[in-house]
Amino acid sequence: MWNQVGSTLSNSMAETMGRLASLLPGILAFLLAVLLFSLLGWAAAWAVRRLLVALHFDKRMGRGTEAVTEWSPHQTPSGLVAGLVFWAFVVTGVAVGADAFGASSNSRIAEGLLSYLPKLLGAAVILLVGNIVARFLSRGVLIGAVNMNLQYARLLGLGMKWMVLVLTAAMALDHLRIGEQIVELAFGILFGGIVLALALSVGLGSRDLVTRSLERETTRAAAAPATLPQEEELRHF
Amino acid sequence: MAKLDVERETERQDQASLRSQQILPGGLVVGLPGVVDLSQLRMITEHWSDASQRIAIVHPALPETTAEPESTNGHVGNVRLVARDIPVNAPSPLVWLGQPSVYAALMAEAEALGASACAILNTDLAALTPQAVETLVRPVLAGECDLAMPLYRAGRFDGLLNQALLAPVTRALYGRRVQYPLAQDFAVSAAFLPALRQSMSTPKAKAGLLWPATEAARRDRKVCQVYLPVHHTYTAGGLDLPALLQQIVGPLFADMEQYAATWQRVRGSQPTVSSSSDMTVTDSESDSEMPPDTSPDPRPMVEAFQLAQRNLQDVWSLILPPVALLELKKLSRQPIESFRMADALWARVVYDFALAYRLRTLSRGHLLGAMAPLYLGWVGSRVLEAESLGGLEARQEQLERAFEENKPYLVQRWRWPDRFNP
Repeated sequence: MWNQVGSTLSNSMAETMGRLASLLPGILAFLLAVLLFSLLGWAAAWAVRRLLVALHFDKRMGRGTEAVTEWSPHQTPSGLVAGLVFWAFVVTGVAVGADAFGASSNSRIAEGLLSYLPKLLGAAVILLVGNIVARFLSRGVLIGAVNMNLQYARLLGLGMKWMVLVLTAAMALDHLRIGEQIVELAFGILFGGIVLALALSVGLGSRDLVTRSLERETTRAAAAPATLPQEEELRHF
Repeated sequence: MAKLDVERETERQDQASLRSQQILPGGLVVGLPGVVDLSQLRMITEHWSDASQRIAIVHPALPETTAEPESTNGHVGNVRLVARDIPVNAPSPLVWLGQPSVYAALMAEAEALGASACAILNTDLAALTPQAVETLVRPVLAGECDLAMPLYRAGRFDGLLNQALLAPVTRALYGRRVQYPLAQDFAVSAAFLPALRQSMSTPKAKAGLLWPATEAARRDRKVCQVYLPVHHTYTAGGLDLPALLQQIVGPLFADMEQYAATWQRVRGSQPTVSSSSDMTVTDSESDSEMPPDTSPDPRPMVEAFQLAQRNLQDVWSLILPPVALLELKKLSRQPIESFRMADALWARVVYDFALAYRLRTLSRGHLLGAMAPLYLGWVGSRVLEAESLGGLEARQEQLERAFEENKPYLVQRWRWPDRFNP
């Protein structure tokens, strides 16, 4: 009996190893395609950047690119175009590599991996964009709140950041079809909870604020007839 | 697009030239860079009928009269009212900020009319009086300078952005001591007109603001200042301070980026000749300018700065070097009675923000938003100092000198932003 168990195990082991080995040429082809296209993309991006600089592309674009630079301050328009060219080559390389991978192996593992690859790429893009948006909005809310003299500015900034990050994570997981129902439910509860907490904190906090403000107005109105010293006005311009 | 714009502008200038055929040789052009109240304008010009020289008051035609712009033209004695088809874009919330394209069109008209000088005035028409215009153009017509900038009579806390930033930066960078670099009333000589107009023809310039003194400095033209007893009422147009900084300081920093090669060569500064006005101040005017009983309360401004110090550390650390951060931290811990922002610290902070604007360290909207509490800190410090201020002019001179003395710091950081980070 032990002999039979041993032979069954060794057979299945050999079969699995064989299948994995059959994937190796495909993986190699995939990596080679990605590497080759990345190199081509790098060269093309370099050439495009040089060309655009020579054509004074950034100056010509002028004010039209303000919106782009607001979201991605380190990027100049020519840098952005060059980056797009590079990533277009990389995505093409991935597509070519995936084709080569599919063609070289007919196993179910390869099929599954291939069908999952676009989703993985999509999720990565969602995470990347979400991260940029979270950082931008959080900074904007923080600076805006400070300029509005809100004592809890940092809390608002952090709240905004985590709200966007949670939303992004939920979108990425949903895109990958991981725990669809659970993620949706958890996200709903978490997001709703954050919004409720913020609403409660602002609402409860502003109750005192409104009271104080009304009191101040009443006091000011009562004191108005008295001869208050005239205050010099500040003019910024 | 830019080419089309230039072509259209050239065409408009040619048409203006043909239309006018230099009907005003040696005369004066007064340009109003916005849509004005025509009835008020006619009423004012009726008092000018005895003007000694020929004057053309040029203004953009009202939108409904653009089909027949000549219909709004008028003629009273030596004064002509000239409405021209000058497109005025949707105004910014700060309506008093003139649009460079409109300035350029007015100057083109002045050139076409063969004027010996062109005075550009604020569209509130406060300076549209024979005396004020005469005061403004006299040094230009006398050949004393190519650009006459105004000196307004201002209170201690008037034009704070001018005091804090615009005047010191213009002086330190371009070497011209001009008190109001973004003035809405100025006069230009015929010799300087074409160069000033051309400087506004690029798409970048059209999107920014016109800094006449900067252009004069770049082209090595003489600048003078004249006392103009005029009071303009500027409104923030519902804008808050960060938005105001974006509208005014943003273009200033953009100009710094554009003209870096010019200002890095400038050393020191030249005093501008100031000529006084003959106009006397009436009793009612002097009464209305009596200083009020108390200074504004500096506490809200200082508190805004302290709040920002607690919350914006992460943002400021992207812009300011460690030494400045440390000094700001120390400053925020000062009790309000001894809260004073050193001139050198403020100058370096402004320079660091200008550098961050150029390097795009973070979004430019965020950058200027993060600068607002620092500016408020400076205003708070200035208000606290006000009680002990000997003379406003002497104090302003001290601040502007600090900007000049710290210019090498800016130049070094500008050239080697990574290597020089004290």
